[in-house]
Amino acid sequence: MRSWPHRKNAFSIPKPSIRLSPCTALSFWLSLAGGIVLYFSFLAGGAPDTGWFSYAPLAERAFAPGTGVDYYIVGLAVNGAGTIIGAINLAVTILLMRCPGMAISRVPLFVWMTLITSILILGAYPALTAALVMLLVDRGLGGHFFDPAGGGQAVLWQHLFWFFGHPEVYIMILPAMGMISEVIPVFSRKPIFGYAFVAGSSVAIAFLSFGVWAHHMFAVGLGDTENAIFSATSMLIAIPTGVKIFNWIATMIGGRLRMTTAMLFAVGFIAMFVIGGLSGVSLAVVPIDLAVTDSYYVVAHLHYVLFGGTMLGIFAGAYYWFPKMTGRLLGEVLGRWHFWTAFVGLNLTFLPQHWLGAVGMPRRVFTYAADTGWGPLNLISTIGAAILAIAIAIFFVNVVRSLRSGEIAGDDPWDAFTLEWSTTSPPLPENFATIPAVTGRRPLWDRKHPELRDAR
Amino acid sequence: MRPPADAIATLSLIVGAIALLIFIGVEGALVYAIWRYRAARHVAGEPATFERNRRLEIAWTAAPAVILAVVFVLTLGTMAEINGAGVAPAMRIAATGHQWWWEFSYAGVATANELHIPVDTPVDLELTSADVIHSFWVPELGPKMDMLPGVTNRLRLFARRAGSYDGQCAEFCGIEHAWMRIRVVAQSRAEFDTWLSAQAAPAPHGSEGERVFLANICVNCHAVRGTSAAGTAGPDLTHVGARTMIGAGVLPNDVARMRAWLADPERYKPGTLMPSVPLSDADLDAVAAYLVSLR
Amino acid sequence: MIAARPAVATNRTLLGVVIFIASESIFFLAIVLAYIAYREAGLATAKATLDLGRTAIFSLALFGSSATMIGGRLRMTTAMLFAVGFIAMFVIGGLSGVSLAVVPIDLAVTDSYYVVAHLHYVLFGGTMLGIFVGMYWHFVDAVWVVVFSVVYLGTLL
Ligand SMILES: [Cu+2]
Ligand SMILES: [Cu+2]
Repeated sequence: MRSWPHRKNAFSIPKPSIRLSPCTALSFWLSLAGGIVLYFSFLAGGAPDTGWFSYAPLAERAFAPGTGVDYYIVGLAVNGAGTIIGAINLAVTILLMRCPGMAISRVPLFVWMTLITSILILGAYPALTAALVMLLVDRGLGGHFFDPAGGGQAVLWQHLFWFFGHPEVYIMILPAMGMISEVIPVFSRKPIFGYAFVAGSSVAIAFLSFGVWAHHMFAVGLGDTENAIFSATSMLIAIPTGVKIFNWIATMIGGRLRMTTAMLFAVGFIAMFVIGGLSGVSLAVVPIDLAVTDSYYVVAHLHYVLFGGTMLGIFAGAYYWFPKMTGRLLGEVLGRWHFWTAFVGLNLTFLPQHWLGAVGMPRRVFTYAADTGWGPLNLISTIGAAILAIAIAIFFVNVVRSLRSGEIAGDDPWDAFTLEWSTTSPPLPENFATIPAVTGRRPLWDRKHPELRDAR
Repeated sequence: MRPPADAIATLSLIVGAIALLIFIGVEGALVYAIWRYRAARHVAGEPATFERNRRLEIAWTAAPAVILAVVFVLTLGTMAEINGAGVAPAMRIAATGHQWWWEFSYAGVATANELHIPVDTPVDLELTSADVIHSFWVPELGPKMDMLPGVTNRLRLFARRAGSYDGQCAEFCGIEHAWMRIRVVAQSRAEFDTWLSAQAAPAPHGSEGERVFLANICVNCHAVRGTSAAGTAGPDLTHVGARTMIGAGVLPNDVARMRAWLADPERYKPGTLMPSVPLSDADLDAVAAYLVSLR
Repeated sequence: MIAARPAVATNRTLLGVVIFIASESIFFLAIVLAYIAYREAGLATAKATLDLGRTAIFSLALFGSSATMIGGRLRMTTAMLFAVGFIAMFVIGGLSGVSLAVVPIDLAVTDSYYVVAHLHYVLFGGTMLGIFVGMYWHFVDAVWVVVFSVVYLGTLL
């Protein structure tokens, strides 16, 4: 998913040659190598068995004697280096390599979100790398960073991990928000409502997201003052997030909505992300968090954000840009099946988990007692997961079929606004035969509909 | 004082009601937009072209801020309440998390996995861990609190009605995290006092099972007060027969199941640090009967 | 006409290096903060175990190597890369050696700072592009100044 912006940005901000391409290659290969190292652990005597968060001291040599955690450390560090290089590449490209007329106040919102995501990566990943280095020193060189018996503190890992971990949530959701910020205006036949607010709210999110990490640690016992401060910042971050939702809906108001599959997924994103956002605010309320943190309530919350949000947004982007990438439309009939099975499946899977968490089912347990009464809701969840799997299968079938025999798309199948739709599908190796002129936020629209061109 | 769980429930209802209103408003606006402005229903002409309205945007930035400010004030109040602000605890109990069982200590009287508390009494748990991070959570009694090695955290418990409350570890602590259950038994003050004085007494002597127990590796990890067994790696067994469950919740406690557990702990709790002890059938019978008799 | 824009707003590589250094600072900041948090917990101190004098001399060598990069235009030929690499290895070897020598008892927290800082010399200093290697060089110097102040001078008393 992270490599997507590299491809897309090259179109949106046209410049005939990408000078930093060795950088792109380095970023890609390092990220891939990190992933391979991580997965290689399965073959090399055991996967990391301390959770994705790998809390110390459980991840220390004394409690995780296998090599899994070592592969986790090296894999994540290498992958992180690739991600950081990729972020530098994207940030520099967006800041310095825009074509004439493409002021920063005119770049497509997807590009804006990519810039903010890059900044978040540059701030967040080094903290994770630092934590990984300390854990490596503890495990390999006899250090005691996270070992209380040797003068360290278990909680230090959590501070560093979540200083990375919370921005990481926005690193995952902002690109998807950028995608639907492109899709919704095009299929509403209207410019985005409040471009400045949508872009500006992302800047606010970026700032705030570095000051909310301890909301993952309310139960650690940091103290009421600390918890109150992080509760306040976490509630604050809901404001710029809410602004985006309002702006997307206002974009649709007064438009002429074409409910293509891409638009369906974009609207589904809004509908589902609202649920994840509201449950997120409830988790910022310290006493509620103390009741439901590390329970299935959190599992439900994060999946409404990451599946209802990120995944639906990515699917919206997939249906929207597939014709540009391949020259063929991604089938609309199977697309609708894909959307509705995904929509039903995700709600069946994740909605019941709110109740499971609220009545006391903890996360990360492989079994529970029969007399807890959690069985029926878990069964619904399981059925939902099966439906979700069907949805994903439909998507892949659709991709394969469309690649082979999909309708030929032409350059601009959606009557779109932005420059990538002015070049051929798929684009030329150098993207554009001639550098296009940019006069506003919707350069292609202005060219196609001179009588309706934007005021600025 | 009000039980912390009640305070949290009240706050959850308020926050939930606010969230529900916002949910209805936003989803309603979304559905309205889709229905009202769908292309099929569109009249002739180009759609609207407005692309901003500063007043409106400032309004929908400010309105959530006001709502959140109210929620934040409520949060602060409930935080103070569930901490037991202003109400001194009538009792302190030390609780230590282990992979994968709980150690409770009433001023030196050690027990495991089942926590007894008197009703209508503010009790403070002093939480720490002997190894990795665990989290003490009994949903019906209130919030959870992590147990970190090298740190002592405090958690206020307050049970209004007598009965047994189940909970379990809420921080992933390794392979048997799921089998790290807690049972809290809330009793009247008199019943609690009787229980505590029984727990404080040493174990009775003289059975065949005791002889087998003391002659085997059991004593490396377990203590039975009044005997030479003084291990600390596993639960204190002085009154193990008085507990309702074996192995932090894996089996109900009776002689047959105790025997099965001793013969093969791995079968009921894969990954447990308790080894299976190579004993003859007769010895197994004797030790199981002995342990269950320790009431 | 528009006033001349600063180099960082026109030169892609320079901007990239600046962003990279900003990102790296967070990495080093996290590690130095961890040290400060643990200083009370009985870590190696300049007073007790660390050899202030020798480390100071090695630090001067480090700054000297950095100073040679200032002034003049650095031509990053292959030969020069090897030269830079050599200085790096020498200084790193020296410093790491010192660190290993002074705290042989237990490779506790403090030592890892050498490992980390010096790993970065090799890994990143070595791979930085052309003329901008100098900038990164100065950056690691700055990191070392902080580490030296905190770990050595800060624990002197
Ligand atoms: Cu977070
Ligand atoms: Cu656990």
